[in-house]
This record gives sequence, structure tokens and C-alpha cells, in this order.
Amino acid sequence: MTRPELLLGPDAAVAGEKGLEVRIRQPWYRSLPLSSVLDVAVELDGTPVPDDRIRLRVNGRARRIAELAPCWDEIWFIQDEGAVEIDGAAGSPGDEIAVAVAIELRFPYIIIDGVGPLTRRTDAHRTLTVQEGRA
Amino acid sequence: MTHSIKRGVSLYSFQEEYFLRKLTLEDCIAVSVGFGALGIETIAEQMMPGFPDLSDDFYRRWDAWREQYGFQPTAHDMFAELKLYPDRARPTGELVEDLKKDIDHTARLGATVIRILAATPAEVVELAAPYARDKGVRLATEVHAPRRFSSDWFASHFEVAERVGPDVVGICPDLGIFVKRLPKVLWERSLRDGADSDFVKRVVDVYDSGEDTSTLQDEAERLNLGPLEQDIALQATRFIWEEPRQLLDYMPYIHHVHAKFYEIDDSGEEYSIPYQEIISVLKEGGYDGYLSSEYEGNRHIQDAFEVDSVEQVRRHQEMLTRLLADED
Repeated sequence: MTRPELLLGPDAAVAGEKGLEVRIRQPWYRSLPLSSVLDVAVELDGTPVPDDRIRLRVNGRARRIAELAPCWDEIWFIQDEGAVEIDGAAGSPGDEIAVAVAIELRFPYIIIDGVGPLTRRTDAHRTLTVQEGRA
Repeated sequence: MTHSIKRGVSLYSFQEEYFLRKLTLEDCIAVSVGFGALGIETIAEQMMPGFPDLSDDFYRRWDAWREQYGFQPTAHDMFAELKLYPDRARPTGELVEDLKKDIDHTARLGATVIRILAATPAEVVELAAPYARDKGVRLATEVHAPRRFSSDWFASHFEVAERVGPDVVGICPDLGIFVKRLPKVLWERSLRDGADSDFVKRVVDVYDSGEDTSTLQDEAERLNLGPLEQDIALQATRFIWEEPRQLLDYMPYIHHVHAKFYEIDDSGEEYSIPYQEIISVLKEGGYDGYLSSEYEGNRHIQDAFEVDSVEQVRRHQEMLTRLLADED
């Protein structure tokens, strides 16, 4: 369940209220607490976006990636999109943009002997057409 | 041989279609029942948003589906979030409280078994057992590869099962402990990814002949091979072959069976797991619970093929029907 297409779908670029958003999914078969998201990294047209310009919005609330660690009692449901809000990135419907996203998940229930909880990084990249805003 | 083994499906099987919103929870139930698999096993964290605080509305809908489709809820798969906190271990008391919520949920679904994740400390199972007994729910620790019957891990869980009694605590063998030949979908993927074909063949030969797989990673290193070869060498160590007749030692404790499969090919057989042999043992031992289809091939083929879990489950159920009807 970690194939890139599950993370970044063909309609992932969205013109949000504050600018460009990249809609991602948690590429796993069961929902995980938000604290399981160790990292989300984004590149737009080949340029990495600094961490301090990224927020992940899940369940209607946007947070910096570093703020996710204590969110162990909030679940990101597997059928729900997460919106990566990117400060200062513009995008109008119809624009084309090359997007790369990486997500690193930690599975709090899969413990590898001698190592600890399993972590897995999924990388995806696509050239996307920016879509109209949606909920 | 007459038997009372029943067919079911774990909705884990439909993870790809559910993720892609091609199937709803109700669709997954309807599809399974359509194959004559009347036992439905569920994963709340997969298909029941809001768990563990599900609404009365949800449970009423569930009851209505039971009425409409005529299925029997079998097992709820729990997860022990052992490493929930980044900086400290999860206290035992919290894990027990979580398990009690799983027990309440299972009882409310009308199911009678909880699949206990293998990594759950045996102590947690023992502490929750009296509550499970009161609610009519059995706790079945999953025996899942690479864990073996002959291990300290199994001994600690079995000790609890013996102390509490098999009416409440037992096991759920996952048939992935009986992988006789390395799954074809696994090594075909490795070849598609570009791994060295001689080395892949070597890994398959070592595994399929029952030799020690633990030295394969060192071998890949000595041969100066790369991450793809290291990966297939590592994966080979995660599969195991146990002698199916070992099940006969634990029959009163087997409350549920995960009928794991990776691929049912056009011949209608599971390439890697000798189902006929295993089902024959379960009949001999008088197993009367469910064989719950658990498809896990999607992750190995999704790079190149459209995943069709529904067709795979259909074929698997057809195979189970045939083998259960066999006079052996």
C-alpha cells in the first residue's frame, strides 16, 4: 500500500483559498495517528520547499510538520485527503506544475526486533494540472 | 471426512479498492456474501472512521446490514499501539484499557473473536481476559511469520492461554506461517524492479529447498550486489515454513484462522501455500471455526498490474469450497 500513486493522485494540485495546495493521502491500509507522520517534503517544479513554508491540514486543522509528533490521539482516516498548504505558492486552475512529495510514516504497532517501530518513506512525483478548489 | 469448518473473508483483503473509494464497507460485505463467505472479519481502523468512538448510528447500520445480507461477524482485528509516544513506552494499563474498548466493540458488532496482534504483550491479554470472558469474546493471538511455534514469544502467549483457559484465550494462526515456496508475486516483482536474475533464482532455490535464508544478505554483499538484491534476500527471511501438523497440538486453542494468500493463479491454486495439506490437518483436528480469506498480494503487483482483490477473493473462496468438500 505504499505505491506512489496512492500518495499523490492525478488531481492532487488544487487552487486553495490561500494559494496552491497539494492534496495527499496516507498511503497505508489502516488509519494512523497524526503522530505517525514523521515527515512531509515537497518540491515544486524541481525546487524544494523549505519546511517552514509547509503546513499539513487534516481534519480541518493545519499544522507544521514538527507539530504533528504530539498528536497521537488524532487519527488521519485513510480515505481522507490531507492538504499540504504551501506559503507563497500561487496556483490557478489550469496551470501545470511538477510536484514531488515524500512522506515518512512510522507504524506504532509494527515493531522490528532490535530496531524499533517500522518506518517507511514513500516518494511520488507527477506533473499536475491545478484543479478548482474543493473541500 | 465430515467437518464444520466455515468460510469467511477478512475485509483487509479489499484494502486497495477501499482506499481508492471503489468499494464501501457495505460493498465489501455484499461482495463476500455473494461468494458464499458468510463470516465477515473487520478492521475498525481501516473501514470504521471514528473508532473507537463509533456512534449508535453506525452500529444500527451494521445491524441492518447483518439483517439484509445474513452474514456472521467473526473477528475484529485489534492493533496494539505499542510505540504511540515518540519518547516513552506505552504503559501496560493503557494497552489493557485499549483492549477493553476492542472487546466492547467486538461484542457490539456481534463478533466473538479478537485477533490479537502478535506484538501485544501476553500480560496485556491476561489482564483483559476476565473482561473478555464477561462479554463473551475470545482473544486469539495471531501466530504470524516470522514468529514460530517454537519460540519464547509463543511460549509466553501459550502459557497465558493455558492459565486462563481456551474458552477465552487462544490463537489465530495466519497461514502465512506455511509458505512452502517463496511467493511468485514477490520474486517476480524483484525481477521487474531489475534485481539480478541469478541472485533472485538463488534466493528462491534456497528458500524453496528449506535451507537457511539468513546468510543470503551476506552473500549479496560478497557478490557486490545492490539494494534490490539485499531487499529480496531480506524479504526471504520474513517468510517461514512450519509443519502444518503442528496445528494438531493446539486445536482447542484455535479460535480463528487467517487464510492468508498471495496469489490464486489461473489454475485456481495458491502457488506458495499448500492449502490442501493444511485444510486436511484442520479437518483431522476437528477445527470448527472460520477460514477467513486474507489477500495480501496487492502490494507485490500494484507497480505493474491493476489490483483486483475481488477476483482474487472469488478464486480463493472457490478453492476453499473445493478443498472443504474433498473427501480426504
